[in-house]
Parts: sequence; structure tokens; C-alpha cells
Amino acid sequence: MLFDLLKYGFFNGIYIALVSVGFALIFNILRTIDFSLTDRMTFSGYVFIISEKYIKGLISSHLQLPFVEIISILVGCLLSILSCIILTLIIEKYIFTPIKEKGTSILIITSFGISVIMQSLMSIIFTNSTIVSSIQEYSIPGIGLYPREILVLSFAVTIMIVLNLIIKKTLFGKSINALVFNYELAIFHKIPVKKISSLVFGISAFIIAISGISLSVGFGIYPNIGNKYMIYSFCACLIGGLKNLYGTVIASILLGVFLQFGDCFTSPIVSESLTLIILLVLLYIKPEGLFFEKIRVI
Amino acid sequence: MDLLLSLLTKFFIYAIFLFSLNNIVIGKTGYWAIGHIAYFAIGALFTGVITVIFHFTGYYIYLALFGSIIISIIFSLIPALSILRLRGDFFIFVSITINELIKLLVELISGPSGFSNIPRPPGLTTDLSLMCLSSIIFLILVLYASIFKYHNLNYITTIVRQNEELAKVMGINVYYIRSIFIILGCATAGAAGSLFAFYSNSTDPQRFNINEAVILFALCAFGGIDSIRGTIIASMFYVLILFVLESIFKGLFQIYTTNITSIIFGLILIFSINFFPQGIMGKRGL
Amino acid sequence: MKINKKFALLLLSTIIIAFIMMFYFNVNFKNTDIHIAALLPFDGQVSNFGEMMRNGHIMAEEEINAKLIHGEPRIKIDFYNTSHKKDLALNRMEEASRNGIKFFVEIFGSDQAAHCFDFANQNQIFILSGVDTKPDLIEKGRGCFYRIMPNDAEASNAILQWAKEKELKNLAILYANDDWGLGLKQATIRNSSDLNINILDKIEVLRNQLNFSSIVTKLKTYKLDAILLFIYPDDGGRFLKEATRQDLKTSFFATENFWGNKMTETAKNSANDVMIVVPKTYENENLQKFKNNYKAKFGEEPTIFAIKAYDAVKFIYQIVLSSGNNTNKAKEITKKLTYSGISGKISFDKFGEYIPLGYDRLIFKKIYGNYQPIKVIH
Repeated sequence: MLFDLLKYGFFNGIYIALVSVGFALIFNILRTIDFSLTDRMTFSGYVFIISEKYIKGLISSHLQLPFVEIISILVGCLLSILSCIILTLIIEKYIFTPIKEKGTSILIITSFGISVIMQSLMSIIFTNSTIVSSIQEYSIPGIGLYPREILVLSFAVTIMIVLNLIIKKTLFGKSINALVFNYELAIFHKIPVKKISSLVFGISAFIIAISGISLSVGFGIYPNIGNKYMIYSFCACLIGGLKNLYGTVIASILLGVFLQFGDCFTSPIVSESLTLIILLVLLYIKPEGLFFEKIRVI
Repeated sequence: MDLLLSLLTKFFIYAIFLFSLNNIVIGKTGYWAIGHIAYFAIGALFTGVITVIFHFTGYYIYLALFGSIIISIIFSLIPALSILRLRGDFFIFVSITINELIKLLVELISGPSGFSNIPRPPGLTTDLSLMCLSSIIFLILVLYASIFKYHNLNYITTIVRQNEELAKVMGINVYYIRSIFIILGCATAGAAGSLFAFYSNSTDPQRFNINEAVILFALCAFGGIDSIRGTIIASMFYVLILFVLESIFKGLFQIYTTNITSIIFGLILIFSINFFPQGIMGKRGL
Repeated sequence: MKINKKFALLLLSTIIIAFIMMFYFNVNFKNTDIHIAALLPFDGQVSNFGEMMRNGHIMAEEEINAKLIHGEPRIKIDFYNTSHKKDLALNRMEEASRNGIKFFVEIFGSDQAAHCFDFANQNQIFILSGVDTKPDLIEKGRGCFYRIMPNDAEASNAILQWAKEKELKNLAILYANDDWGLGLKQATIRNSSDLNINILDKIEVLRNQLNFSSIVTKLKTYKLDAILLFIYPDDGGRFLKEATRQDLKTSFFATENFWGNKMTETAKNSANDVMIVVPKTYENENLQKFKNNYKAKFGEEPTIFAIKAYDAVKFIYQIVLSSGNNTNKAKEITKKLTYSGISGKISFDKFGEYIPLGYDRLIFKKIYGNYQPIKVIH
């Protein structure tokens, strides 16, 4: 039982970690949390469900191809990731970039505004009830996990390694660091701010789209699902320290395990409230996060 | 006639709440309390607990109104303490966290669909009397605010809000001034929540979620920070928009009412906060 | 300048109010029609029940209007969306009452109905429901509420009897934490001691709960014979999927609300062998005709909700005709009425409670690629 709880808690934490990494990446550019990120996750999930269903019907009625399901899943993933990236870039270019200089608080409120608008639009288009992808999943016997979850785990590990390499080794990563460290100086040294910010937003959209697809296959999607993950990842980000990617991931996984144990021994509401209370206490005592070197200005 | 009465009651209750958010918390302290709707929830929840769980009857139900103010004051110590260390973004984070926490508390105590059949105290049984009570409370608040304009404390809050260092040099206890107004605002919001529970006879936890909070914040930005006229017009606008949409989308299309309201206020929020920060009636920006 | 701006805005808003008032009070109905309101959820977690019941209502409405003999009034059903929320349900009822509607054919959800009773009694409103199953609703309604569905106590009893016949001793309950789920849970606990069945654990399930892995892990530690699922169908589907993943090998019982495509869409292959109890319907000519018409019109098999909704509309039409559109008279005569609908005979005892006809037992099996409930003969 203990092993099972740890195992599923870990995989629960991976979901939270994907969203938290998205939050942390955007933090580097906007210097605050973008709360509409999770709604873009919901959006990508919806796109995946609909495009996968549509393509499967299209292929099976017009063409005689083998591996219809795998092709439709791959094309669905591609479409969903692409649409998520395009939507993110549009939001970044036309909403966030023009108002970036006005202060972080205004950015937070704006992101809330975007989140409310996106949720309402999605509930008008797709209705409020839960939609599940039609893919039938088979768990791996003996392990009790779906292949999807192992894919997501390997994706998360790869993206962490790659991101870390990019940030430490390449010029791109160094310019991100420069932007974070001193924005005005970075502009003065002709660092291409717009390009970098688009790239970072694009990467965050890619990560978020993967978690959205996985969510739509595993549990199903409803328009307000983002709020739940938003709160969890927000906790993990603040606990882990926003600029520290590893800290965020560790905090997310710890949070996942904690929630799993809490759900088992108490009830979901109690465990969620406990998480929020821990977050509140932490905000009072150590607002810069647990795994963090002190750079951030409070 | 019933319709007009219910619209007016709703308007006064929302106006009391918006007053507490717009003219007291944000207006006097400059802290952006997005999750202020949590105190509205506390007022409604406490009223439900007193009447439905503990079965208070008769004139004892009035205790709910005062009790919710006291409970709101107790819970308002959380953000009031937080401003010792945090400001700006981190106060917004604390505010969101408190909002989610209170929403969970409401769900834990009252169940996912909330209390129902909350009785009204004698003397408040008709809609007219409830409307009168809320209008009287609102008028008192407005009167207080217009007198307060010429009070010394008003100048002190202006200094504290605009230049904290200067205020400290002048020997003003910045923390004390700010926490007083946060507590006052939360107490007012608690009273509004209690009135709302009496008005609608129920407490629905879904009414206190983060989207609703954002809409109410949008109303503040729309009306203009720290302006009484702005508060009145914003709450009138909100009640009317809800009503117009409800009368347009009837029957099966009622699904769209709340969603279209959210879209309208989301757009208003983004627009007004970025390009129109003084709102319709406000004299100063956010 | 400021004052002018404000004045203009206030003027504008008053004009809007006046306009709406005119728009609002100009809505008049034809007096010859019988207007009936149905308060159903068309969005949110239970929207599919709302859809099914609306289909049943529409079928009945069309059939009544098609078969009119001269002189009888037409029936018109107004649908209102409650989103499965109590305060919205009350608002809709007030709205319908303002429009002059006194007869309500449905208020979906036990807590929604209970919340509306005070208003209904004050305004002489008559409610007939085909779904609400919380036991004490009849008592709370004080005469304004009737239902044609047996209450929760009967449903839980039917499930426990079935479990007893299969010699299942150790059970666990998963319940939705609202009035409906709590009512079923309490009824089951009360009934289980009489039948000598142990309830090992009672687990609360939130609305729209996503992650059931910890619950399944917990349930695996008991030696369970069966699990009773008193939860909403999409939550149930997620739970069943998780149970298959973690190899939880027991039998699952549920009530009639798992019938419909929502549960099978979520659970997919895990829906196999799930057992549900459904209020009894006797196969007869009219039922078969209804099923065929329904399938031709909406492209799917009718569930018990559509059948009961159809019966409710036909029954309330009878009540309206025999009471002469007077709700006080309707409240008195309904208790004495008996009506044979397509689901069987509808009659009431002296308290106004529906006299149940027993339960059918159904098991989900795969037919032509879809999971469908099949009747078990016992």
C-alpha cells in the first residue's frame, strides 16, 4: 500500500511539475506568474480530443491505412501542440509584451482576465460537462501504470535535462539569465528581448500542451479544470522558489506525494486545505521559497 | 414590482461589498486584494451555520449578522499580518490563497451545494425590509466616507499610500494604519455576505470561486478606485447586465448568461486596467 | 464635467431599465394553452440527465398535441436551465411563476427541489417529479410535491438484496457528498444491519474528482466482496477505470444514474459487469412503441429517465385536465388518482408517496462494440 501510494503520488507530482515548470519559465520573462497558463492547457486538451476523433473518422472513411489509431493520435498531438503554441504566442505578443513595463501586479490581474475569458469561451463552445478522449488505454500488467504515464515521465526528464543544458551552456540561456538579472542592462547590450521572450513562451506552451493531452486521455477535460492545477502548481512554485527549476520540480513531486497520502488517510478537501495552509505559513516565514538562493526582490 | 425590488436588493448588497473592496481596502491601503470575496463567503457561511446547523430562531438570527462581522474580523487578521512582510505581488498571492482556503472551508462545512432554506429573522421576512436594511447600511457607509474625506486620517492614508518612506519619517505607524483599513473592509464584506445569504436563502460555494473574485475586481477597476460614484455605477451596471442577459437568453440558452457576463467583465478588466486606469468616475489610477 | 458624465450614465441605465420592463411585461401567453415548466440542468456534471429528460418531455408533448380531440387545450412545456444549483433553481421557479405557470413537471435534484418548497407552498405551485429520490421530500413538500420514482431507501434495499443473494458480505460505499449521495448512504447503512451485511468503509467523493488512485489503493487493503457506487456517472467512470488499472477485483453496484452513455464513455472497457438496479418497467405495447419512436428520433435507446419524464408529462396533463387548472384541487385529487403509464401503474399511498413496483436488475455487457445494460432475470 505504501509503495503504491508513493508510486501514484510520484506520477501525480509529475503532472503538477509540468505545469510548475511552465510557470517558472514564464516567470523568467514576465517576472511574475501567468495564471492563464493552465487554461491554455485545457485548450490544448480540447483540441487534442476533437482533432483525434475527427482524424480517426476521416482516415477510416476515406483511406485504407494500417495503424489508424497511432496515426490519428500522433496527428492529434501535433495539432494540439501547434495550436497551443500559436495561441500562446498571440497572447504573448498582443497582450503581455505591450504592458510589460507597467508593473508585475498589472500583469497578474491581466492574466486573470485572460483566464476568465478563456474559461467562459471554452464553456460556451464545449459546454460545462466533462469530455473524455475515446482512446482505450491498457495498463502494463504487473506495474499498474499506463504507457502514457511512462511517456510523460520520460518527456519530463528529457525536458528538464535539455532545459538545464540550454540555460547553462548556450547563448540563449545566458541571455535569459541576463534578462532576469538586469533587464535594462540586457536591453542596453542589444539582447534580442522579443525573440527570447517568444521562445520561452513557446517552450512553456509545448510543455503545457503535453500535460493537457495526457490529462484529456487520462481523466477528461472540463473548462474549469485549470483552476485546480493552477492552485497546486502555484503552491509548488512558491514552495520551490520560482527561479529555481529543480526546486520547483522537487516541490511539485513532494506535493503530489503529500496529496496522495492526504487523500488516502483524510479526505481530498482536507489535504488540499493543508497544502494551502502550508503555503500560507511559508509565505509568511520564507517568501523566497525553500530551495532558493536569495536574489529575488520581494 | 417584485422584479424591481429584487434588483434593488441585489444592487445594494453588491454595492456594500464593492464599497468594502473599492473604497476601503484598495482605496485606502493600495493593496490589491483579489480574494476579497472570501470575506463575503465567510459572512454567508456563518449565517448558514447559525441558522441551519444550530437552528437559531426568532430574533437570535440577527446574531448571524453581527457574528459574521466578528468572524470576518478574526479571519482578516491573516492578510493584516501578512502586510508586515509582503507587498505587491506577494500580497496578491496571499489573497488568492486565502480565497481558495475559505472556498474549501465553505465546501467542507456546508457541502458542495451549500446550505439551503436559510430562514430570515422577524422584521426582515419581506424583500422590502431586506432592501431597506441594506440600503440603510449602504447609506451609512456613504455618509461615513463623505465625512471621512475631511478627517485627518484621510490625509495620513494618502501619505502612507503614496510615499511609505516619507510616512515612516513623519512618525506614522504605517503598518497600523494599513491593517486597520484591511480589517474594516473585511468586516463590511462579511456583513454584505450575511445579507446576501438572507436574500438568496442559500450559500453556493461556486459563487465564491476565483472567477467571481476577478469579476468583482474588474467592477472596481471599471468604476474607478476610491470613488463612491464609481462603486454605485459599477454595481448598478453589474446587476443590470446580469438581468439584461437573463432576459435575452431564456430557457435553454440560459447557459450563456454567466459565461457572457464573465467574458464582458474579463474584457473590461483587461481594457480598463491597462488603458483606462482611473475608471469611469475615479480621480486617480490603480 | 464629472457630474454631467455621471448623470448621463444614470439616465442611460434608467432608460435601459424602462426598456427591459416593457420588453418583460409584454410577454403574454395564449390563454388556451396549458403551460408547464421543467427545471432541468443543461450544463455541468449532470447535463446528460437534463438532455435525456428533455427528450422524454418533448416526445410526450408532441404526442399529446398530435392526438388532441376538439376542445382540449394544447400543452406547452417551457424548459429552464438550473445548472444543478439551488439558488438558480429558485430563481427560475420565480421567473416561471411570474409568467403565470403553476404546474411544474420536473425539478431535477433532491436538494434543488427541497430548496424550492417554501416558495412553491406560498404561491400554490404543484410539482411532479420523475427523478428526485431523497426519502423525506414528500414530508418536506407538505402537499405540493409528488414523485413517480421510488425513493432511495427502496433503491438501496434492492441493491442490498441482490448482494445478499450473491452471498456478498463485506461491502464498501462510495458516495457523492450532496443530499442525494448522503441520503443513499444513510439508507444503506440502516438497511445493511437488518440483512447482516458489513459496511467496511464509507468514502466521500467530491464533485468532478479526478484522481481516484488513493481511494482505490485504500480499498485494496480491505478484503471486499463488492463496492456500492452512489456517485455521479463521470466520477464513477473514472473510478472504474482506476480500479481496472490497479487490479481491484470485486463487483460494483450502482443505481439507475449509471444508465446512459456518460459512464461508459469514461470507463470504456472497465464498465464490464457493473451491476445497476433500475425501477421496474413492464414490457408492454406502449413501452415498445415509445422505445422505437425514441430511437428513430434521437438515435439511442431511451433510459429510465426518458421513460419517467414521458410518463410525468402525460400524468400531469391528466391532473391539469381533471383539476381544471387549479393547483389546490390538483393537490387533493392526485393522491387518489391512478394512472397506467408506459413504465407501469402510478399510484400513491395516503401520505402521497409513490407506491413502488420493485426493481429491475441490469448488468453492463458489450453489444456491438458498445457497453449496454442488459436485464437479468431473477
